[in-house]
Amino acid sequence: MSQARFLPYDAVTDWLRKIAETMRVTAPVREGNSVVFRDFDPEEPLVLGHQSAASPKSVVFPQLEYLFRYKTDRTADENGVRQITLEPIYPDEDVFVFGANPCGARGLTTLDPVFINDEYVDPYYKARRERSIIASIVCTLPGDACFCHWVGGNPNDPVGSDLVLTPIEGGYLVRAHSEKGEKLAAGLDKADAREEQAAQQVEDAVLATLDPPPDLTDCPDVMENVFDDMELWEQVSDKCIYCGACTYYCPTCYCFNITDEASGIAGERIRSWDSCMFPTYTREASGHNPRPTKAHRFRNRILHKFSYYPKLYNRVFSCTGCGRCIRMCPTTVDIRDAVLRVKEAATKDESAKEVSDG
Amino acid sequence: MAELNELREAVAKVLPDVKHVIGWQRGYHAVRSSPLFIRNQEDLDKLIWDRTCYQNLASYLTSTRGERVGIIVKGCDSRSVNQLLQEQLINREDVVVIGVPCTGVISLDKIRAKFPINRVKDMQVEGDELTIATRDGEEHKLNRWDVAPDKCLACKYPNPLIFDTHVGEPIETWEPKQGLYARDEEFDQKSLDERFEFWRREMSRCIRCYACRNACPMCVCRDHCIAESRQPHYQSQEADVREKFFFQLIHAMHLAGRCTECGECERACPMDIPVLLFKTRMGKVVKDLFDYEAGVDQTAVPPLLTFQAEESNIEEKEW
Repeated sequence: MSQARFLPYDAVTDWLRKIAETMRVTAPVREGNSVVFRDFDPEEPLVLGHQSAASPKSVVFPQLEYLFRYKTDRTADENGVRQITLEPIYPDEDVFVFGANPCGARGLTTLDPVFINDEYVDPYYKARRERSIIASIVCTLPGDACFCHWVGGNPNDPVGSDLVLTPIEGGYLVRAHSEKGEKLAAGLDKADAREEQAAQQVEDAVLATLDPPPDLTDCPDVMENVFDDMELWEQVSDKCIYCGACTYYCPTCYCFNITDEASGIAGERIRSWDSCMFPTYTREASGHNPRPTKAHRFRNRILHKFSYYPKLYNRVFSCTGCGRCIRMCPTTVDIRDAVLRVKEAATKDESAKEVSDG
Repeated sequence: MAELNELREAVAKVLPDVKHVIGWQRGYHAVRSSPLFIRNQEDLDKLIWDRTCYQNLASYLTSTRGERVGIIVKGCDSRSVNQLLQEQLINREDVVVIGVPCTGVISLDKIRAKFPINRVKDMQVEGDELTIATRDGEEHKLNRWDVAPDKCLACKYPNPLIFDTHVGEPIETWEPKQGLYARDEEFDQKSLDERFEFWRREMSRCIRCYACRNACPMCVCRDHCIAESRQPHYQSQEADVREKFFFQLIHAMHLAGRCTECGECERACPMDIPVLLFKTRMGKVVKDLFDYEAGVDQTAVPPLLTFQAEESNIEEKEW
């Protein structure tokens, strides 16, 4: 690992101010009772070490993205054909995200194989991903809804982060986990052994507070056993009011809609967030909806995160355990309970099958 | 407050005749409750009844229409049930209403404004005083009136207005601590520019998740909402303040004279946007013009769902 650096707390603003000269800097501030990412303003106090309301997902996958502008000619040619002019709109700025949580940063890596893979590369996503640098802060206060260590993460997980900052006395120990991060931290003073040791102690102390996680490794293999058990899905989703809050705040949800927002003969084609919890999400042109009830949609959300996605992409869950879906849910639906209940029912089915096979 | 045991007995009596009874259970920490769909004794054991039981469960009634269900309601929640019946959005024979008198609940949003309520060990309640202990070894002492939702401060209906079973004795209605529209009146003091700037800033946090819409007991278009309709294309999918504001205004207009001011929209908002202000503003107009409160009288017709040639409070001929 490269040399760790030290960033004194009272030097944070100046450091960000300097970075903001060359790129957009976004960092968490308080608005109402919510912590939200906003463009860095040296006058606005940063709220660091708390989880932001929305995850930093929108930096690479914005809620609203203009794909291209179009314009139709007013007059037709001799064959009656009117020409359409398209003007693509590509992301054109570098963004530094300062003060994410490790769970939020990790979420970005779960989006990568969806938008950048052997068969298809999404140029919009790719450009944003390449042009963003993420600095996360080791989480020293895992909340009641947090479960990152159930799904492969932990409070000092560097996956998805270019820089990881550990709060110690007087400042942050800064470790780079990518070339981009290395370059950004290069101007900071080198950390000494005492500071590195202090950071290690902070990280170990948080890990020691976590309860042992349940074993979810077999979820992708067993959960689909109960795909048709609608009574189970109705019961685990009964309190859900199928708003999209869980999916919109989730760092790993990536469903989108594409619409043309026209104004006369010109307009934009936009990509905007959609949610599998909305009835319109799967409604077909015929009017048929293969996921007609919230139980069907809830099933999709749970199985997608804990079965379909990990089967497609290296057995990694499409969930970073950030707990936003639990915390933000108006009715406190707890995905941890849902997953454990489904897994239990599915494993029961499995053992029943084994007995009958035997 | 009525005893939990009595409430459990009342639910047990209803249970054989319904698909489920909707009540509350403990959420993932001591200050948070979560809806509970009671189907059997095991579920019934989880039932709670305390100041954390904030959520208005009437929001679930329209989605279970056609099936017989039980529901536990506080005084304020019972207005939503009444209003749903008035508009024939639910059938009286489908719903068994278990009413509990309520002396007030507490708002997580208001507690959150005092400290980040994210690592709770437990909560003790003694009279009006709440002590919330955190896992970090801190103790926060709060007076429950300081963290009561506005609807409790303005409460006129602590006793259920409609019920099949009543649990405990009705309580004496107290003098409200403030008027229902206190916040609107304060807001009205701001200049037009200040008001616009306020909403511009507040609505910029909205991410169009529609928790406000889906939590609303009176918001019944759901699967056919104008926000997602393509034909006609009422709203664009753009994420700018204009579209978000537009949605809230439509929502408020649809609820004028129907909204029971239960505050679910605002409670549900993950971004802490005071969206109830839009609805109470309309509620105040309806109150002033028609002297009408939604959901109070089961037999009344909401003023905007009927027509009178001459409204008594509108001086049409004086212009």
